[in-house]
Amino acid sequence: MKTIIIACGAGVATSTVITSYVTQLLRDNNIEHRIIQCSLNEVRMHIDKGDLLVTSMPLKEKYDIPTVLGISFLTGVEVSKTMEDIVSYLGN
Amino acid sequence: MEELISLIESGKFVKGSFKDKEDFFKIVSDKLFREDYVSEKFLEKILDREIVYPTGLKINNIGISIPHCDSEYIYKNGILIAIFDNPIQFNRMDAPEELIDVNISFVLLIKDKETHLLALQQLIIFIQSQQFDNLIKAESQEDVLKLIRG
Repeated sequence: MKTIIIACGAGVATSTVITSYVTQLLRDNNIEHRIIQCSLNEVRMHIDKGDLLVTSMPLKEKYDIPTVLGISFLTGVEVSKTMEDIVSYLGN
Repeated sequence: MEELISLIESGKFVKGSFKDKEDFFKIVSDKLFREDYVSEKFLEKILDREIVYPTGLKINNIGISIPHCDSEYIYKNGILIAIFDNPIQFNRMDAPEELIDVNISFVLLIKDKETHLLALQQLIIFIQSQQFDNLIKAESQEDVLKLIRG
């Protein structure tokens, strides 16, 4: 079971959209998962439980787990690359 | 697109010229406060949030923004759509040091996350669609809804 932390500014709008795309992606790829959706300043509270972090904007902090920028789900730009990155980080 | 349509209908439509995003937020917050959509802290919170977590996005070469803040300051669910006669600068969500020219702003009034979940997904789909290019010509909420209904 993989844990994905999905974070945006207020933890309400952008992360909600990203979560819906990520959930679909993981189902399509048969990756068992649970999502922790939160605001960017709550990330450090959850970081120990996560296998992957997906954010709406670039972070200043560096964490030990892989981080993917999820904004492409909103803009439609480079979505395939984002999806490939997510799947490959969780694949093993 | 039902949920999106419903939230737009529950919201407001604004078209006009604003000096800058602060001017836009001041005018819109006042309107929303007077109509009981938001609390008096809304202006402060939405300004603060935009500084720390900007909401500008470039989609299909159109600059948009999706300002919003915590549900704590929102009394009624809705989406206020603002079309700017002259572009206003916002910082980019995915590159906060960069400014982009924004023509359309969707002020998200999120009282309940669940109510907005499907609407937000639909909004993203609409923004990425071809109909979106015509949104900038909308003169009323009815024009917007016609475009979304397709």
